[in-house]
Amino acid sequence: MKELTGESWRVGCHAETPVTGRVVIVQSEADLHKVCKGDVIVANQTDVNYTPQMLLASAVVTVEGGRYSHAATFSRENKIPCIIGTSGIMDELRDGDIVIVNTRSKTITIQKT
Amino acid sequence: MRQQIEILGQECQKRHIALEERYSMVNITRIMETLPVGCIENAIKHYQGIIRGNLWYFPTLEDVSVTNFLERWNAVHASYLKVAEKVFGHLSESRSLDSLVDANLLEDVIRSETMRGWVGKRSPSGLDALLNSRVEQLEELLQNYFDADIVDELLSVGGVYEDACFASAETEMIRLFHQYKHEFGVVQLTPEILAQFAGKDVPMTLLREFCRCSLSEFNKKLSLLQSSNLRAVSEGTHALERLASFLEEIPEDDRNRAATLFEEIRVLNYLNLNLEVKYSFKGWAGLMHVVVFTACSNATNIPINVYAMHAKLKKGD
Repeated sequence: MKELTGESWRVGCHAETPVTGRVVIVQSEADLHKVCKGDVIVANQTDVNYTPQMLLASAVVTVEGGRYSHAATFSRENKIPCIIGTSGIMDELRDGDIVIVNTRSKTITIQKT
Repeated sequence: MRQQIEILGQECQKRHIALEERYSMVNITRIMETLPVGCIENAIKHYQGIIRGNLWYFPTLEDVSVTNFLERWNAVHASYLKVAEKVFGHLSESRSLDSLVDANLLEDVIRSETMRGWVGKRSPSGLDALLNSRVEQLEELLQNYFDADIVDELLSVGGVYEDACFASAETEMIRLFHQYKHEFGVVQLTPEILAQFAGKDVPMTLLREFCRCSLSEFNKKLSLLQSSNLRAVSEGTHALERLASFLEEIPEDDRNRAATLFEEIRVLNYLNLNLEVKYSFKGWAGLMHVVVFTACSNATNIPINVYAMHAKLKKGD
C-alpha cells in the first residue's frame, strides 16, 4: 500500500465515500478504448471526446486543470469523483494498478500493482 | 451579456452552416475519412504540443471588458474558420496531406493560430486571464462574508450550466445523442444514410459540433454513448438555488457586484467549456489547422517549431 497526495491537488468533485478501481492511463484519445466500466481514468486533462469513457469511470484523476476545467465541470455535473492538479501522478501509477481514490482526504492509495 | 454570448454561439453556427452549404456535409465527411489513420484521434494532443512548444507574438491588452472580449473572440474565430476553409479547399482538391506542404499556406495557418492564441488560454489578454481576474475579484469579495469552504463551493457554481441554453459541451453532446437515438434509432452513419439525413438538425449538429465532421467519430461515440446516461441532471439547479440563498445574506451593494461577477464568470466558462470545444482548436476548424502543421512537420522533419518549418519550406530545402 502506498498513499499519494500533493499540495497542488484539488477536488473536482467530491464523493461521499472512497472509490476503488483499476487505473487506466490515458495519454491521448487513442488510449480511450482501454477504459472499462468502474476504471479510474488517469489523464493529463480531458476533453469532450473523453465523455463516454468518463461516464463509465468510477473516478477521474487529471494532472492539469482547475476549478472550471472540463474534467472538474463534467464530473460535478455527473457526480463522478474527481481529483485535479495531481502533478507527478503519471510517474507513480501504471495501467492495471488497483487504487482507492479518496476525495475527502485528497489521496490516492495504491492497493495493488 | 447572456444575450451577447447566445448571439455569438448562433453566429458561429451560422458560419459553419454556410460552409456546409458550399461543400455539403456529405462531401466534407468524405474528405475527413481520407485523412491518415490516427490523424483525428491525435489532433488535439499534437495541436497542444505545437501551441506549447512555440512562441506566439500577440499584443497584450490591459483591463479588457468581457463584452469587448466576446466581440474580439467572435472576430478572431470568424477568420479562423476562413483559414480552415482554405485548408479544406486544398484537401478536397488533392485528398492528400502533401498538398498542404506549402510555405504560404503554413504562414496563413501560423498567423491564424497566433490570433486564436491571442484570445486563448495562454495569452495575457485571453480567456483564462480574464476569467482568473473575475474569480479573484469575486473570491476577495466573498471572503468578507463566508468561510473558505463555502467560498470554494460558491465559486464552483460558476462552472455549472444546467439550464437549457447553458450546458457544458459534454452534457449537450450526450443529450443530442439521446435525441438522435430517439428520432432515428441506433443508426450508424454512412455516406448514403447521411445523404438521406440532409437538413435534419440533430445528426448535422452532432457531426459539425462534436465529431469534427467525421462519420467514424460519430459512429464510435454513438455506440459508446447508447447505453450511457447523465448521472445528475438536476445538480446545477440545486447549486444555483444554494448560491442565490447565500447571496441573500450579504449587503445589497456587494450582492449586486457579486451577481455581476458571477454572470461574467458563467459567460466566460460557457465560452470555454462549450463554444471553444465546438468552434476553436478542438473542433473541426482546429483540425484543419493542425493537419497543416502535421503535413509540414512530416515534410521538413521538424517536429514542433513552426517557424523553423516555415523557414525550411521557404528556402525550398
